[in-house]
Parts: sequence; structure tokens; C-alpha cells
Amino acid sequence: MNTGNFTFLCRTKTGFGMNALEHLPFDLSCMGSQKPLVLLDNNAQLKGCAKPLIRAFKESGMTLGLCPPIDGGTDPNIDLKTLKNFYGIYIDKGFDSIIALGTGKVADMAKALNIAVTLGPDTLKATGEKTQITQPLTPFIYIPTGMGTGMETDKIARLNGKTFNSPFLAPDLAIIDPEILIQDTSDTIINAGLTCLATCCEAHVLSDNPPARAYCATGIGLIIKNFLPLVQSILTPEVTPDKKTTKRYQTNLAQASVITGIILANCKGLLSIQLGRHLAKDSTATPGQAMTILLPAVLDLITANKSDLGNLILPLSGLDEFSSVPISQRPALAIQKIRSLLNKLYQICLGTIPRTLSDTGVDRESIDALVQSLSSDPPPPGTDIKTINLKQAKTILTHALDGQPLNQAYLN
Amino acid sequence: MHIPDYYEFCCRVNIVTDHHALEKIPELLLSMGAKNPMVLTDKGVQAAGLIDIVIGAIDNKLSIKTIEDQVPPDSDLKIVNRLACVYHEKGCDAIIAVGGGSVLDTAKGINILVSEQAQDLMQFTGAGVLKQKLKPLIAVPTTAGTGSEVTSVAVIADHEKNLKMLFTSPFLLPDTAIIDPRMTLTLPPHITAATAMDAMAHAVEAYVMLSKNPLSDAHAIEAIKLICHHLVRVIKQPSDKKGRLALATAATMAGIAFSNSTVGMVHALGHSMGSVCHLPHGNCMAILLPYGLEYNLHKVEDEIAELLLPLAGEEIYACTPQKNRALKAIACIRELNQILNKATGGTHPICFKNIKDKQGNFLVTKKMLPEIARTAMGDGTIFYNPEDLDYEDCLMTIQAAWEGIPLDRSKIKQG
Amino acid sequence: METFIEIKPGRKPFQRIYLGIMLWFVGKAIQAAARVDNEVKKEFKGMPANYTFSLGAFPNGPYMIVGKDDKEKVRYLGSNISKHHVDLEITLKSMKNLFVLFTFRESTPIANSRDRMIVNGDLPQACAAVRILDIVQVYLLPKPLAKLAIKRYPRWSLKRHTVDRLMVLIRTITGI
Repeated sequence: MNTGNFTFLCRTKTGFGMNALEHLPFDLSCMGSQKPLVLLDNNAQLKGCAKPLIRAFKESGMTLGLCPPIDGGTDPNIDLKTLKNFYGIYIDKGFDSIIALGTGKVADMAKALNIAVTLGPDTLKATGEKTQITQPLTPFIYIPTGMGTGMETDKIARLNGKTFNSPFLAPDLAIIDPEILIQDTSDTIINAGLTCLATCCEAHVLSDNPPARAYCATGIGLIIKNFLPLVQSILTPEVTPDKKTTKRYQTNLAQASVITGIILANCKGLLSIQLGRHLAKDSTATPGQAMTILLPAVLDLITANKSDLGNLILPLSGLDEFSSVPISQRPALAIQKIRSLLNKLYQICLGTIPRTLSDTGVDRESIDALVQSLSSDPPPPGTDIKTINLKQAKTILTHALDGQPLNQAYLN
Repeated sequence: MHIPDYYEFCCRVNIVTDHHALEKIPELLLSMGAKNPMVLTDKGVQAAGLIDIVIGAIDNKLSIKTIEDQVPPDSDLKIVNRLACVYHEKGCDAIIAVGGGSVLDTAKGINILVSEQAQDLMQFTGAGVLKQKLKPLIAVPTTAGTGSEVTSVAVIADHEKNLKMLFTSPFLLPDTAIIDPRMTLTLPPHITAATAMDAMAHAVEAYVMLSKNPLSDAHAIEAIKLICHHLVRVIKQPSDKKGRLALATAATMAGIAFSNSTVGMVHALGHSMGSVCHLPHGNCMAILLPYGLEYNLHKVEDEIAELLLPLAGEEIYACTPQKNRALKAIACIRELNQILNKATGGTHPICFKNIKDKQGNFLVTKKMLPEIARTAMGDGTIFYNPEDLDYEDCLMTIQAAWEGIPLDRSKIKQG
Repeated sequence: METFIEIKPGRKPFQRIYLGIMLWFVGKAIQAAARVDNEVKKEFKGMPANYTFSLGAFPNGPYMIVGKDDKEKVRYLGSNISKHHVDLEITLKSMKNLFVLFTFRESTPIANSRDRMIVNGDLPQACAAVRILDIVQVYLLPKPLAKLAIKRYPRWSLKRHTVDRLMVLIRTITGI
């Protein structure tokens, strides 16, 4: 029960739940903004997400600008011509704040636009390391339409290979309103949900940072209660609960996703996240799946104080189970809980998602090559990600191969 | 996990917690583009030698333009106006506020005037009037209790017109809160106990009041755990730096929790006790906390029951039947007060009739209770209380707290 | 739609009319209750002379304003906030929030605890104003609805529930 030396900063104000959008005009006016420009992607456009937003501005006296939708496809790169176009619109029409309606790329685009309109477009041309953003930017509001990548509320902006890193890049306000959420595909939910789980669990165990731990505990609680039920309701429509319950699952998971970004901005060098992202590059597993496959081994290997690992039971299983399990049994149980979740997911998805590294097609012989590839993939400049210890990585990958029970993992 | 239909959460303060956090001030301030700070504090902090530690840590890396220690125990408009002029005259570009609630409130008031280039503070009263970021403000709390380093509120009294001005805006949040154990290391045991119980009351009330939400809950739980684990040890071993850091962190966590949830009747009654009888705030909180929980028990039994885990630990939680957990949690807080009373040689009070001044006179007499109850009816925090309170309810509660006997729960009116 | 468009803020005429009527009713009822009910009288007595307070929605209303005149008489002062100096403003962050409140889907304490309300003015008076609003709601609404709107349904005397209630209703409608 100690606190280490830590720093914590979350510049994002969050508004979660029913009629959240209704507060937006008031919040904008508190930031001195009267005319927001909305960015959205074609999926949000197609599903009519702009409608509830426009409705929320009725009687507000504020004029909204709606940009043509951007392509939210899989290409992570931002089209610079579109960015230039938006910049022109923003400046010409006198907008004074940016709303990103959608996830992933829309948020990236909005962050880049925010840098351009506040500090001038030339700032984007400079390399990430040289650009220090030390002042607040234009008010930036993030309204997710689904679970997102968990990186929208991070303090990092990515622009076609360049990375900008500043707390001022995080949204000033993140709003989750059930009315604006659209049904993600089960693949998106699984990837995002598992990313949240891995991030929150590892940060909870490793950090001596009480505010971060509070966010993690909340994130884990939200995932545990809502993740599997939502996936199940999509994949097995015959047991789908009523619309209201499904919306509640969606809203709560979107909250978890926002929380994940906040944790990522404050907890550096989470191993399961870094390794998982790397592994997913040439694998059938998505990043979220890879992270969760690695998570038990990561937790087991690098937790110096096993009671920190045992404390994970509290957010994972609740007060009663936590308090009734003997301290010595808690670490193993915590890891088992994570494995069980993945196994249960495997069952719900009828075997279409991997539970172990070997399920993704990796075998013992290819581990060395995987570890080698890590050394040739340094963290992107501008981020504060540490370089991975290769020996550690090998142990983790080996143990995650078959998802061995802990005892065996210790023997190796 | 209780998830309300709607909630907001905001804490933009950069929290820097370290055994050498003070040494980070220059770097932090320079990164905000400021290097000529005004150091603001009160006479007590100055006399305790804390300012010397802060100045030593800054070590000529900043050009401190002035050190002002004129802040009174109750923030005052005149002082704010005068210090705003000093800020301009000396060419300051930031404020480092070293102290408790009043110093922080004064710093926030000065910051409004100097950032908005204004003369009259009155025009900024209320919610959401400030529209832009203010000048850099670094908060260095010295009490480990108030949590005002993470609140977006400032209260400044206009003693001439006899009114209190309330300012609410996210822009009032300090840029950085510096949590350094050296700032609380010399607090005597009874003040350590009182301030920690103030933080405890913030956390506990945040957890049971109407505005609770999952994030404020998680902050509150962390704070309660830290206080329960470290408080008695620190009282017995005041030089325990780790414990001091943990308590200071807990106070900040509790501050985040209550400023994103709210406090309720314990604070309504406590504020009134403070203003009518001039009692230390922390003592009021320690005494009133179990009573506030008892009063609301029928509305928030489950929430209070959950608090038993951080308060008493997993063994007691697991071995207490569900239906007894809430009462047990309240008993734990009473027990903690008893332990603190013993550990401080009787200085930490457990009921109001025990509090005496240096001459041995009662600070709270039975005659004062009606006035206290009336004042409490005008305290805004009363609206976040789960159960409604009228004058008789307030009076009944403080009468019990005066005597030090548990509340007669059969007399609580239920709708 | 592939081009940029600008969207002027629309209106919500139905909600505005509904809220206008409700606010008028509440305003008139406060005036009436201040003549009939001792507790309301006492709360108003504690307020300074010429004290006014308003209830409404950000940013452009609708509003209702109630205040004391020079002779300490409580009056409903209409809905035009620009015509009066208001000492205490209770404002919902949007018209929809006010609508939800006045369709009894969210009680005043719940709306307050969900950050939907802002109060600008002196706190003791704000507390008094909220208590006045609570009492008026008990007068105006049938018990099941009133229970949704306030925290604790009060235990009133039979006279207060019947005679006083009737008087408040009559005075509200006739405006005397």
C-alpha cells in the first residue's frame, strides 16, 4: 500500500451517458467557443451520426460546420489534401473549435488540424522531436461513435509516420452519448475490448500511481461487466437482450476505451501493449488479441511484488471474491481470470479467435525470429516508449506459446 | 460498480508526487513559459520554515520576484486586490501557492485578476464565466487535507460587504500540484490526524453522495485505503516520509474524488460548525462523519457496506455478514477516531463537548447548536445528500454529535 | 453530401411552448404559495429586499423570474430575463435538460447531481429557493409525481394538504 514517485495528467474532461450531447453547447461556451467545425468519417455519415449532434445544437444559438466525410478505411495515413482543405474551411469561415465525430482516423485528423490551425500549418512539416507543444491548442472535442482504438484520448498525434507528443493534444472534452453510438462489428469490439483489458490490467499491476490505478480499476470493471455480453449479443442474435441493454453495454465499453487512452498517456512502456502491437503486424491475431494472449506471461514475469498482481482480483471479480480468497492464491487466480475470459471468448466466437500464441500459427522454432524482428523495429521517434528487453520478450513469447499454466511457466 | 445515467469527470491538474517533487518546480514552470513567479503563502507556513525549503529547492533556477505571506486564514477580497497589484508591479508571470485552502483560494483570485487584466473580481463570480486559460499556477499543499490543489472552485470573502463570492471554472484548476512529503513532515500529530480525517470525509462522502460515479469512486477507494494504512503509523512515527507522502497523495486523491462527485451533509454541518464556533475543519469532519453516514444509512446502505473493505481490510469484510457491513463500516470510523484520540494524547476530539480552548472553556456549547443547524440549511452541499434534511434533522444530528452518542435512527424521517 | 455545409441552429418550438406554460405555472404558484404557506413565507422573509431569482435554460431560455418588491411582496415577474436584475440564477445547461426536468423524468436533485444545473448567486438564498420550489411542487403535483420530483415527500398536516393546496391552486390560476 505504498505510493511511489509518480506524475499523472489527464487534460480531458469526460461526459458519459444519457443526454451527454446536450451539454456540449454549454461546455463549448465555457471554453470561449461559439462556432465548432465537425469532422466525421463516411461510416458515421452513413449511419446518420451527425443527426443527434445537430439536434443537440438546436436552441443553442451556435452554428455548426460539417466537413465532407473522410475515408475511415484501413489505411492509417491521412490524406494531406483533405487536411489542407479542412484547414482552409476552418480559417475562411472563422471556426473556433474542432469536433471529431468518429473514432481512429477522424481523431488523428482532428489532432493534426488542431496543430495546424493553432500553431500554423508549418508546424506539421517539422519533425516530431523538434516540435514542442507547450500551450493549449484550440478547443478539441472527441465524440466517439464506437469503441475506437483507445488512442484517441492519448496525448499523441500521428501524421503519416510522424509523431507529435504533448498533453495539449489530448481532447479537451470526450463525450459519450448512447444516442450517437453505432453498432461496431464484433471484430472491432473484440480488438478494442481486449486492448482495454490488457492496458488496464498491466497498468494496474505495474504502476505505483494511485490516480492511474483508479482509472485502471474503473476500466477493468467496465470491461468485465460489458465486454462478453456485448460480443455474445452480436454473435448469437437469438439471445440478444433488449435494445436498451445493448446500448448500455456499448456506452460502458466506449467509456472503457476513453479510459484506455488516458492510461496510455500516463503509463509508459506497457510491455503487453508494445509486444502485442508488434506481434500483430505479421499475424492472424489483431493487436488486442495478441496483447491479451501475452498478458498473463507479462504479468507473471515482471511483477516484482506478487501482491500487486493479487490485487487485480478486486476489479476483476469484485469485493466478495477478493476478500474471501487467501492472499497466497490471489496472483494465480488473477491470471486464471484473464485466461478464462479469453477462453470464454473463444467459445462465444466458435473458435475463431486465438487463445494462445500457437493458435495464431506461431511455433517454438519461429520465436527466435520474432524476437530478432523486435530489435529491428525501434519505437517511433517522439514517443516515450522504451526499447524492449529482448531476453524478457523471449521468455514471454515462450510462455505465451501454449498459454501454459503458471507452475510450468515457472519451471521453464 | 455504480454507473449513473450521466456523469462528468475532470481533473486537468498535473499531479507530481515525489520525495523531491519541489525540485521539479523550475522545470515545470519553464515548460509553461514562465520564470518570474510570485510565491504566495501565509504566516504559519512561513514560520514553519517551509518556504525556505521551497526556495532552496528552486535554487536560483527561477527568478522569484516576491514572497508574499500576508494571506489571512480566511481569504479576503482586499488582499486579493492588493496582491494582484503587487504581481503586476513586480513583473511576475506565474504564482506558486504554498499553503492550505485559503492560500490556494487567494492564489486563484489573484490569477483571475492578473490573467483577465481586470480590476473587479465580482464580474467573474459564478459558474463558467472564465473562458480561457489563466496564467500558470503551481499549488504546493502543506496540509494533506483540503484537496484544494485539485478543485475548480475558489471562495473569496468580501468582508466589507459581508458576502462570500464563489467562482467555479475548470480554468481555476492549478496547472500542477506538487506533492512533497517535506511540506507535511513537521505537522504535529493532532493536526495530521485532523487533516487526514478531512481527506477521509471527502473520500467517504464522495463515495456515498448522489453524484458518485465509477471514476470518483475509484479515486475515493484509493484514498481511503492509503489513509487507513498509513495514518496511525504516521501519528506514532511523524518522521515517516513514505507515510507522509502516502497521506498527502490520499488527500489529493480524495480531492479529485469529491470535486467530481460531491460532499454532503457532513460538510454542510461541518462548515456551519466552523463558521459559528471557529473549530478546526478537520476536527468537525472527524466527529461528524459517522453521524452523516448513520443519517443516510437507509438510502445508501450498500455503498457504505462497500466501504468496509478499504476501511477494515479484506478479512473483516469477508467475515462480516452483508447486512452488518454498513454498520460495521461506521463503527470502524468511530474506532479510528478513538485510536487517534489515544495516539494524540486526547487532543483529537471524538465529540463536540470535549473540545475546549487553552483556558479550558467549551468551544461548542449546547446553546450554539440551533444557530449551527440554521446555518447548515444555507449550505449548498446539503443538496447532494441522499436523504433530505430540514432544520430539525440537522439539529438532531449535531446534538448527538455533541454528546458523542450514536444517532437514534428511529427518529430519522423517511419520505 | 460531399461538400462542406454550415448548419444554423434549429429550434424546438414544442418544448419551448410546453416549458413556457410550465414555468408560468410554477412562477405563479410560487407567488401564490408565498401568500398561503407559512414555510414559504419564512423562506422569502430570509431573503434580502428586492431579491429576485430565475429558473431557466442556457443560453436563451425560456425563463421565469420571481422576486420580492419594495413592500416585501412576492411576485411572479414574467419570463423576460433582460428586463430584470436577477440576484440568483438557476440554469439548466440546455433546454432539453429543462424539458426532462419538467416532464418528471429526472428530479431536481438528480439533475443537479448529474451536472445539468448551474447556480449563480448566494448559496444560502439558493438553498432557500430550491426549498421553495420543492414545496411548490408538492402543492402542484399529485403525490406519485411529486415523489419523482423531490427527495423526500414531506409529512404535512391535513389542512396543508387540502385547504392550503386548494388556496394555492386558486391563487395560481386567478393570480390574486
